[in-house]
Amino acid sequence: MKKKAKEMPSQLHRLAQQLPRDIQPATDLWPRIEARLDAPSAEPNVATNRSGLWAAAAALVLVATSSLTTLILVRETRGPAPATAGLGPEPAVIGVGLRAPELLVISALSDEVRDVVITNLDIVRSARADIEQALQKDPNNTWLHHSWLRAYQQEMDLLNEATWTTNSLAERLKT
Amino acid sequence: MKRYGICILAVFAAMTAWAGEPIDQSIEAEEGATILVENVAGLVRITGWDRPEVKVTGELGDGADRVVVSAEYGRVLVRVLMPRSSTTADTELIVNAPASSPLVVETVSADIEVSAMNGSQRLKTVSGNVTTFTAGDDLEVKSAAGDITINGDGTTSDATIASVSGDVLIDGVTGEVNAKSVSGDVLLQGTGITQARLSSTSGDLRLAGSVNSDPQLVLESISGDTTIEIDGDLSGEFDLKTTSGEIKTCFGLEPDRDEYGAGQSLRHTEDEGEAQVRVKTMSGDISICRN
Repeated sequence: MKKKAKEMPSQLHRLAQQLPRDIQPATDLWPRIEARLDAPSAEPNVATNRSGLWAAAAALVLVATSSLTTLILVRETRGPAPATAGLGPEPAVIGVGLRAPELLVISALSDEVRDVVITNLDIVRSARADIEQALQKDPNNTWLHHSWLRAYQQEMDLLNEATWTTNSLAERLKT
Repeated sequence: MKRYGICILAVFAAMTAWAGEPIDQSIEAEEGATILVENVAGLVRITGWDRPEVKVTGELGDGADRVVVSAEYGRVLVRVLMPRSSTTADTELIVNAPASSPLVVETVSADIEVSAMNGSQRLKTVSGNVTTFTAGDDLEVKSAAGDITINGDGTTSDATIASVSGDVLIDGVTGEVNAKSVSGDVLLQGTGITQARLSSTSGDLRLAGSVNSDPQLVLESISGDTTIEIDGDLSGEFDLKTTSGEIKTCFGLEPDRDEYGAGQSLRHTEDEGEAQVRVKTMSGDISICRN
C-alpha cells in the first residue's frame, strides 16, 4: 500500500508530461469577440433601468427610515454609560453602545423591557470587556474563554428572547 | 348547510367573552392534552384539579377583544385576543385545568401563577413575575424582567430557569436544576439538592440547604458573589477559583494565591465523600460553609 502511494506522484508526473503544451481552439474566436466589443451598444433596457430606479428609491427610503428610527431611539434611550471597550472589530457603535440593527430590533419593546434589555446588554458587554482584560493576563485560562463565549451567547439571547416573545405573541393574538 | 353554519356561530359565540365582561367558559379536555395559555398583559392564574375539563374565569381587560377557548389536535388553547389597534389590556385569566396536563403559558407583561399542576410546565414571560409549584415533572421558565419563584414538593423534577434581571428563587426541587441570569440573583434552597448548575453575569448566586450523598454543584459568575451553605455533610472534591475576588471557607481550608497575585484558588479532595463542587467567578467572592 505504501509502495503504491509512493508510485502515484511519478505516474501522475509522467501522464502530465504527455499532455500537449498548447491547446488550439477549434475556430478562431477573437474576430467575433472583437466585432461585438466594437458594435454600438444595444437599445437601453427600459425595464432594467426602471427596476434599478425602484431599487434605488427603496434603498433611499430604507436608509431614511432606519436613520430616523435610530435618531429617535438614541434620543429616547436612557441608561448607563456605554460599555464599548473590548467590543473588538465590530461595526460602529451608536448612541449608548447599541448598534443600529439592535436599536431597530428593540424598538418594538415597551419602555420597561427596553430599559431592562439595554441595562443588561451593558452589563454583559462590561463583563465581556473585563473577561478580555483578564485574558490578556491569563491567555490560557479556558474558563475565561468559555465565559467570554457564554457572555456573547447571553447577549444574543437577550435580544432574541425579549424581542421575539414580545413581537410574536403580540402579533399572534391580534384579531 | 345554513343551519350548520348557524350552529358553528352559536358555538363560537358561546366560547368567547367580550371586552369588559366577566369571563366564564369551560371546555372538555382529553386526557394528556396540553393546556396552552396566551395573554399579553394582566394575570394568568392556573390551578390544577381532577376534572377532565378546562374552566376559564376572570375579567377581560378594557381594550382586549375577546377570550377564545378551543380544543384542537390534543391541545386546549386559551387565548386573549387583542384588536389590531390596541397596545395592551390587563386581562385576568383564572384557569382550572386537569392537574396532570402539560402546561404551556406565554405572556408579555402578565404575571403567571401556577399551583397544583404536576405535568410538565413551560412558562415564558417578558416582564411578568412567575410563581409556580412543580411536582415530579420537568419545568422550564424564562423571564426577562420578572422575578421567578419555584416551589417544589421535594419529588424529583428537572428545572431549567433563565432570567435576565429578575431574581430567581428555587425551593424544594431535587432533580437537575439549571438556572442562569444576567443581573438577577439566584437562590436555590431546600432539602436533597442533587445536581445544580447556577450561573450569572453580575447577579449573586446562593445555594443553601441539604444535599443528597453525591451532589454535583456548579456555580459560575463573572462578577457576582457565590455562596454555598450546606446543612449537614458535604464532602468530596472541591474546585474553587476566583480571578480577582476572595475565597472563604468555614471548614479550615485556606485558598492558594494564584501566580498573578490577584486571584485565589482552592482544590481539595476528601476521600469519604462523592460530592463534586465547582465554583468559579472572575471578580466575585466565593464563600462555602457546611454545618
